[in-house]
Amino acid sequence: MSHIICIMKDAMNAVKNRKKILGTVCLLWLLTLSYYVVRMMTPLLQSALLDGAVGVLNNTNSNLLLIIGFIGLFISEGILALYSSKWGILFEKASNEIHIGIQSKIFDKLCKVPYSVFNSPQIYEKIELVSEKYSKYCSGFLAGRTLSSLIGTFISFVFTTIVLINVDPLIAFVVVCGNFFGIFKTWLEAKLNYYSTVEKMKERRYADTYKSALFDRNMIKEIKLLGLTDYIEKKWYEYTVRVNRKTMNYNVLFLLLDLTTYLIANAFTVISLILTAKMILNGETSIGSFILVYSSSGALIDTSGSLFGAFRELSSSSYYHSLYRDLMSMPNVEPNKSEANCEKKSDVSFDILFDHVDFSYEGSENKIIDDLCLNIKQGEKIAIVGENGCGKTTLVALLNRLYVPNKGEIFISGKSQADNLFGLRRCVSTVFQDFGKYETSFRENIIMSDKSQHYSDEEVMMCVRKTGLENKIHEFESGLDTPIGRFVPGGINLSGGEWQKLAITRGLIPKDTKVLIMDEPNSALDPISEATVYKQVFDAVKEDQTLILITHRLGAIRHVDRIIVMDHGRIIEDGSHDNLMEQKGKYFEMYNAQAKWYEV
Amino acid sequence: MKNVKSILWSLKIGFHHAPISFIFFILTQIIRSTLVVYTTVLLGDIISEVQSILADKGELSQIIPTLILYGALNVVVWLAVEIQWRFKDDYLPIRTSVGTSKMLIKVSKYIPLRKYDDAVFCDQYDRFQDGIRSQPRFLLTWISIGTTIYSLILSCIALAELHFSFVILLVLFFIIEMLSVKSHSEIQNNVRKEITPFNRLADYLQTMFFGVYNRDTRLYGLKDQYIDQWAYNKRTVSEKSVSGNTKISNTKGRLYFLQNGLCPLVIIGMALFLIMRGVVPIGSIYTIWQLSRTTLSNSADTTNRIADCIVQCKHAKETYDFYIDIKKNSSINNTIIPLADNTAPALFVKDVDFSYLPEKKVLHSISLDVRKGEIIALLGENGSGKSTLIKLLLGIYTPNSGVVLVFGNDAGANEEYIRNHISVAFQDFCCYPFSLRENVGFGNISEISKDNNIIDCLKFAQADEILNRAKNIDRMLGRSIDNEGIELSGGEWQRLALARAYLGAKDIMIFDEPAAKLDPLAEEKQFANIIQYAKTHGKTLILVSHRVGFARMADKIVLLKEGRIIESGNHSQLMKANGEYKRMFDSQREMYATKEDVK
Repeated sequence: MSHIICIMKDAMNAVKNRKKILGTVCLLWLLTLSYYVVRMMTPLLQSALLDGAVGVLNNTNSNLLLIIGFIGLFISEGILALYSSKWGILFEKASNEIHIGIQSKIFDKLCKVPYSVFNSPQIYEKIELVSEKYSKYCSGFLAGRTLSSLIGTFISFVFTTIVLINVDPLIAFVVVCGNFFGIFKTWLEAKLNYYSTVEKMKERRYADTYKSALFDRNMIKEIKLLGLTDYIEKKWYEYTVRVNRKTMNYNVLFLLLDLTTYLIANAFTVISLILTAKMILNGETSIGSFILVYSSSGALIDTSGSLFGAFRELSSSSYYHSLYRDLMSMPNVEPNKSEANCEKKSDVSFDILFDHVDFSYEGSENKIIDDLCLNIKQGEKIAIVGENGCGKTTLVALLNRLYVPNKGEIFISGKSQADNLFGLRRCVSTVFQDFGKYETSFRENIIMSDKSQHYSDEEVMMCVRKTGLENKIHEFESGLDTPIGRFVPGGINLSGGEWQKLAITRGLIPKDTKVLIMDEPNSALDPISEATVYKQVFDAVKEDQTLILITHRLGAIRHVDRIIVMDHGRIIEDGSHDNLMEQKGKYFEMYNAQAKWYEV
Repeated sequence: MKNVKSILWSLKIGFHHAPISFIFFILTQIIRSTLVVYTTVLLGDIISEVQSILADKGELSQIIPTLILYGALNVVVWLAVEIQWRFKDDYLPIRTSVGTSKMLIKVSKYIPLRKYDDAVFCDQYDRFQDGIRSQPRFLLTWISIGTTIYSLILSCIALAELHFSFVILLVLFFIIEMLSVKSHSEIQNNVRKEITPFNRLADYLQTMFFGVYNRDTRLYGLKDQYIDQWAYNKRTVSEKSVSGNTKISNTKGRLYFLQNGLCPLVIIGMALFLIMRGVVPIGSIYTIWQLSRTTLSNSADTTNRIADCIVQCKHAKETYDFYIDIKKNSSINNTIIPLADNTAPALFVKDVDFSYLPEKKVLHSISLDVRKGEIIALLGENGSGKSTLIKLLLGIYTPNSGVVLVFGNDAGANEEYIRNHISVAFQDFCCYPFSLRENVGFGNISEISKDNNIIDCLKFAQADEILNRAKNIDRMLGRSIDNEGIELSGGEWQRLALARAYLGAKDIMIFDEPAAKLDPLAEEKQFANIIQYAKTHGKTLILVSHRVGFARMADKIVLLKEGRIIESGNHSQLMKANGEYKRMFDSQREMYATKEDVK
């Protein structure tokens, strides 16, 4: 139960800076509580009205009772109206703000936790769950949707009991008793509901994945040409039927529970009404009590039914809260803004040293990087080659400190990489193999790699020319500001090669770059563009800038200072092209595999 | 008229998915509404009876049967409420989602592949899918409107039996309430339109915190900027939606006062007046109170639902029009039954012009003749029209002019025929998040349970390492479904795509950049394997690649530039011709030339 307080705290923190929202939240609680109070008052007022009417009819002086009942009902109806017209809007307002607050926190954290979490599907799945659902629970708790029905039910029980005891203790006992099973039932139902959801999760995931394959625009071409529609439809149907059968079984069970509940509750109501009737006939109480007993028991059945949602949210919220807590307690590995000030200019050399580095992905025993030592001096032009899966790309990620080595350390200009993160982020520019495709304008796509400085059109176009994208950009009237992709209205489509050129341009733009890394920058380029891009990149790199190229096209990298050949996470060859060719090792073999096709 | 037709169609389709369930639903609704009114009247009668027993000194046992009847009916009412609730939230969605999905899959079969490249069409198609999926809900809305009106009428009848004046009052109120419907639905519509772009942008920004975008966001230090932008967009959405809802509730505010303050006051006052005059019995004050309240809230419900319904009707029309369009187009297809012609060339392309947009031609009078068993290398720069040409061969697009024949049959005429004669490994191949077996078996679905064939293809595509790692051919790939699944690298996925192509090998095989993600040694082996396979099995092969070096293995090299075939012939012919091909070849050769060569 302690998680309730924690969730409330999280929600409070999320809207701490927005005083207005706190006001809204208070108003919501006030509205909700008054709603429950009014609902409890209604039976009393109704019975007063009836008694008053009977009194007037019998010419006893009960005008006051009649008027109280009349006006009271009028006011209570007004409050109910206010509740139903304003509550939804206020809740929408507050929950949106809470959502924004919580999500901002999650997003912020996501950019600080070790990047490796995105490689671990288990953690990643949890993160997705948190970011989708947690804010819902926060607003539910803070704005009173979840707790109010609990508190409301409590109020109802106490209030009704008191009122009914006033009429007759026996009747009160009977009415309240009849509802205990109802509360037990809702609790049980919430539990079972949770289990049934968990139980069906995997099958539902199968069903959904098969179905989405049929409507995925990127898959449809192949699926149609291979004639797979029927097979996938069959598979989807198979899993769906299984899920549905389970759902139905639970539903039958739930309906049986409902039946029992209502039988019990109504039997008790009838008994209490008979008792009341007896008392009225014996003259022990007024006719209004009849309405009082009837309405009170009805209201109780109603409220205990509405507990279902509250129980369900209570049990699942603790799960989501623990996920959120786990996420928030992950270590921060990214530099803070404050570090930026203490390191204005780092004119020191930018040498890179891998010192006996081991690395394996979480949950896998396979060492991707195995006791790797590597020294790269500032200004060196280096190429890394090797077979698929030899660890080249992981090396780049380690150098960017997206991953942290399991063993060993990486030093940047003699300092531990971890102590120089801000400098690292500013001075290393990487074009990744799986580069991002941003559906904004050309300009945004290019300058996003360095927003700390202003880049004039001329500067941007200079980089564009190097990658041979200027013809494409000139095709459009708005030039650099032409939108790309489907998100923006009027967005244009780019081919794979064009996206790649754009990504390279993005890597070339930052002014402070000391290390430029390119991971297979040419896989989608045709031979001519490939040659041009390489030439331009080599020309663009300054004397004191380090260049690290990763590629399978060995012809392009003959002229670099050093070629490093990797195999199973280790460096097996290291030297210039001529050196390595003389060694007649792996590089020699790979080079010849490609070169022989170009012998005349 | 057309509007009515589309609404009826939507209702019919919605009903069709789960007819018995809907009938059952309507029945429970009717039973419930009837019993609610009846029990209310009954309780009023009981009160009156108690009062009269009190006055006449009767026996308590007189009312006990009525009370028990009342309790029993109440159980039925509550149970009906419960059934409806479960039915609406749980049962009906699962029943109808099967039906709607089946219908959508059927419709998707009619849609020609080229349509998927059309952004406008795709937007419409998305909306159409939403439309079809919401049809059962649409029907439910209508049913709800119907049953609330039914219970309105019942309540009015019950009240009329007491005194006609109540009914007049309620009807008057209902009319006032109905007047607000139109503005209500208009506001909703406007708000929805206004917030869409903001929502879209917020969704886009949200993706910046996940996966590779997260990497870029942190490396480029864009986190705070993105969060601010996201929050701004979300807040705008929230503000707009809240202000829209406030507007609605303000117009309703006056009605609320009328509904919940004035109207009950007047009715109760009148009831008291009538009771005093002895026109109606004492218990009826309860009946009147309760019935007028349900009537008022029912009428409010009805107006809300009608407002929803108006919006949904517009959607229904759009869905219907789209459906009719699709059906019309589909009837043209699949009419010719082609005959395989062994004497005809495998591929015959003559004078083909093609353009996606009217003003911009992508292909200019392409002519190409491929014999059976020939190996063709298709070369060209990015954007030279290679992919478009392949799409024409597959019949995905039809040429503006000229002919494309596959074994003498028109490529665009019959999807089934093309599927049986051409197999393709696309550059942007699919990575199915299913099992290893399925990923390969999809190449030829009839062989999906033949383990040996699948393993052979895996070996031939150099992908047997994946099987070793997976240990089990039914192991899931990727972890989107199963946490036990194994993750593959880009190179491994490509090998799988090739294994798939081998399993589904047809007379004509097209490979588009089959080795773009492979390392040099694997690449060489892959090309050699492909060509060996084609030669031993007598397949016609079309190889698309940027790697000019491998093209020399082909019988014929076809060079595309700006949508035209500028050179064709074998390697030595083209080298002699000293044209574009030689230039490309040299530019790559230079990279591999030894220093002596350069001199």
